[in-house]
Amino acid sequence: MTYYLEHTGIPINFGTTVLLAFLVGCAIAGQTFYLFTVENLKQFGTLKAMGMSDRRVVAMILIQGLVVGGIGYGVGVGLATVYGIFALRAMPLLAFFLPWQVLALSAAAMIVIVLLASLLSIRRVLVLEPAVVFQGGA
Amino acid sequence: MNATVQSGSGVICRNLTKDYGSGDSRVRALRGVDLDIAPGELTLLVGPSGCGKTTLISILAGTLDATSGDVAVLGVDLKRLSKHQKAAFRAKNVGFVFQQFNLLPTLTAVENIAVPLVINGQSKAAAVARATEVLKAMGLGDRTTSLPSQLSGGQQQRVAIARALVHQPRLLVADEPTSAIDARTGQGIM
Repeated sequence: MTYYLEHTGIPINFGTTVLLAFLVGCAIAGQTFYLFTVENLKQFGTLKAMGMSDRRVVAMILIQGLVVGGIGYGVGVGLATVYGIFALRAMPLLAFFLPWQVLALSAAAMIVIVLLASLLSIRRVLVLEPAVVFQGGA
Repeated sequence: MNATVQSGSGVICRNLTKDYGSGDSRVRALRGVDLDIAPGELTLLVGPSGCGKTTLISILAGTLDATSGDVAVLGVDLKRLSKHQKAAFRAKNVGFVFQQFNLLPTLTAVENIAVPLVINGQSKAAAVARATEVLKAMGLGDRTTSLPSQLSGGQQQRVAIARALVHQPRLLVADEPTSAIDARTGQGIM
């Protein structure tokens, strides 16, 4: 592995791919969360008007993001594993290796993506005035 | 504040003003409103569209800050409360009936009613049990698991009223509570 890391372009190529995937994941997840939040501003406004604390609203958004991210992580890891198993059967010389460190790193990346993607939504809800539920503006 | 605020008093407003916008685009929605509502009193605000009714009840409910003037609700000077304290005040003391019901679409009727109790710290099981009792008292005992989209306008309104009353608030604020339903159902609800 050291040889590949030091003497080939594989780390740069794979690293670029991973970085792009991370950025695209952040953008898509952030946009999706934000759209969901905007579509449900009326509900968030209602909860805030009824006295729900900002801390609890933020927790709701984060929990939702982590649940969705967790499901996506599970599906992604599962599909990668299934792919590896079947690919190894079809091509015994294929180098497929899925150590637990990769799974842990992916989980950490997923959590970071969820947190980053939730920031816009959290900000939108925190600045939301509960009075909008009376004004029909939410 | 200048107004005499007594413990347990209802609502007192003195010289209340509210401006939206600033500079040339500034609109004055409230201009020097004085209002006294005694505990147990039912007060109806009537006026043409745009005269500031919604702005006034938003301030009384603690969901909007006045530009100037004094407002005391249930003996509490709302201007002295932080954002967090206002939220806690609303959760404990204020019940809301909104013009468009504003029921949470993914929660059942009984779960919607349980929301104020959960916000006030009750466990979900206890809140749902209490909400079920209230829903039965409202004549909707057979619709506990119905989603708002499965209820008629009158039923949704009854759920909204049950949600507003379930935590026994001392101030009930209703914004055109019968405008989204037919006249006959509205008269029945009132």
